[in-house]
Amino acid sequence: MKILLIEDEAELAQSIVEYLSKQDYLCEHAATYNNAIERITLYDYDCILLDLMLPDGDGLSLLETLKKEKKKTGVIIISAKGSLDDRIKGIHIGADDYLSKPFHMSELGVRIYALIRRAQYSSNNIITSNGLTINLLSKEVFFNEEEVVLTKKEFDLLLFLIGNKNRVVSKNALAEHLSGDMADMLDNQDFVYAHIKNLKGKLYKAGHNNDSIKTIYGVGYKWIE
Amino acid sequence: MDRIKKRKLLSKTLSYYVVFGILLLLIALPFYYFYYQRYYIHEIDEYLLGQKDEVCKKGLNTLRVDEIPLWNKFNIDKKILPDDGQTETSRFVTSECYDEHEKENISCRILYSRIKIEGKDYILSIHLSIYEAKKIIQFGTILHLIFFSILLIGFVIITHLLYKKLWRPFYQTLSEIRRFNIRNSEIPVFHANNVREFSQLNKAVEILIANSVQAYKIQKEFTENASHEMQTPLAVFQSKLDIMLQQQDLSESQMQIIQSLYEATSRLTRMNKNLLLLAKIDNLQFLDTQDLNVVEILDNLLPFLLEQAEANHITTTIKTGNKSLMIQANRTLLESLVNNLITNAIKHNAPNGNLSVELEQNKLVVCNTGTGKSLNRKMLFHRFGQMNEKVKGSGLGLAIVKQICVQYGWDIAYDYENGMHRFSVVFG
Repeated sequence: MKILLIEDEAELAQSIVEYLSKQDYLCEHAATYNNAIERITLYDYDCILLDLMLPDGDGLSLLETLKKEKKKTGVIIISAKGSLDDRIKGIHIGADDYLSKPFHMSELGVRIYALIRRAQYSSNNIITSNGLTINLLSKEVFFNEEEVVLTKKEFDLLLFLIGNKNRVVSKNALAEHLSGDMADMLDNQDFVYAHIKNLKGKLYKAGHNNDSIKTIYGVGYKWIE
Repeated sequence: MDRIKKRKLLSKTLSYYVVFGILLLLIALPFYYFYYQRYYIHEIDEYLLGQKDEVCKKGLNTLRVDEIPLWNKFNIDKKILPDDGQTETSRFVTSECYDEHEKENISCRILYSRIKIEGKDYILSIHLSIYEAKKIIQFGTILHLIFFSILLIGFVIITHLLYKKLWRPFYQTLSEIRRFNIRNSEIPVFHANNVREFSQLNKAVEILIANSVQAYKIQKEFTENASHEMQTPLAVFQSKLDIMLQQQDLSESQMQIIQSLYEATSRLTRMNKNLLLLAKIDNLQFLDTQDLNVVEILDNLLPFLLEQAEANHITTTIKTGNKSLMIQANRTLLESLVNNLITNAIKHNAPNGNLSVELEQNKLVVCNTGTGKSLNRKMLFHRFGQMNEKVKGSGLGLAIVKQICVQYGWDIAYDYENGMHRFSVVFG
């Protein structure tokens, strides 16, 4: 999996490259518009992470160039411009997803996971992990041919954890993922714990090995595959 | 200011002219009448004196006493009367005398003077009718009144006609200014005109608008830039925490530090987002509206919020009914308003407290158990006005609610009753 990160903030780029590299992605970094154009024309990428504000050009015009060349690369915009206009404009030009800064590495991880999976297995909507079979279309989870009935939140939680497998996902990231735009209103993240507890209980009941979800000192959780 | 009655500039101007005109008329006409009368009588008096001198010089010294009746017979306006000793002489008198032509008594000016005929005292009376003169003066005065009135009426009519023509550029400018909307940053084009004052006005308004548009643009850019500048370091900070969390050999106490830092960044992020939202509401950047059903919005938002309430051991009561409540608003803003009101009621609730959300007619009421006293009404809706050390809010929630209500003209009220904080929003 090849990913191109176009981001001018060196420290942030370093974190992203480090996080994604450990998830078996080959992540390259371009800090300027020109460098990015050069790489896009020379190589093919599975996914491009695009910052809209670059020191020598506008990310949106880069996106336009990319779409003109009809490359099938998935694009996720990562921008500090949180305004709805930019989001709509970006999606309209052909971006697949939009993440506004600041975001959690795990959120980015799960978005890339979804994007690449969509591109690669467009006909296949089944993923498997630790003996669980997840149908993404019907949103059903099976273990040993038997369905594990989950709520929507629990399903999202499971996908988020599997999308960041073997990485520690912070409770904050989970809370924000589960509650969408409203998360930033509340301080109490106990509801995450409640959902994790329910999910664990349901998997255990279905006979699934309960070591898959590891709790890290109440700060985060990890899906061990 | 609104109580002052607003009048058109035209009627204001005209009222001064009309008042001046009528005053002038009231003063000038009597003055004209009396002055002319005095002047005329003075002229008559001179004439009478002249007549007397002429009579005395020519003929009186040759007149005999027995000729007096004959003299009187041929002189209509002059008579020689015997001196009765009571008539005052060398004085002009206005009195009635009998006129042969008119066959009636008419006003006359009479001069009596003492003369001597053959050594005896006689009175010479010379008179002249002022009847015609009075009539002429009256007629003149009436003519004056008529012309003066025509002048005044004509003046009013012409001013009316001129007003429309002269002020047309002004009204054109006014309608351009009314149509101006700073959000589309279009500087209106004013019609050229040949009146210096209006040209100056247009020029000044053009500069004013250009400056406003410029300031608005700068403010918008500042908002965006501030957002970028603050969010990038926040993103770096958070990404480093995410990376740090992946380390294998972290101790529990190190993890707790990481958790505290996570909470601090998320609070900072929240403040930044809310400040931006406030700035955008202030900048009227949420102008697109649609028909929204408040019941539907509540149904969408409540599951998550109630889950939060439950996690905080809060008992909730929801009364929305099945009815719909349609309003015109921006979806983001309405959702933000509902979210802020209800999350506030959750965050600032007492342990094991109550929360109720009610929709009655066109009113949304959110109540929560308080901690004993009413909130400071003055500061409640101010930015960072009601910061609470125990509850780590962004301090902007109610300011956002207030700002949204201001934009749509909704009423927001706060009450404290029976230990419950009560916020109510009346839509429309």
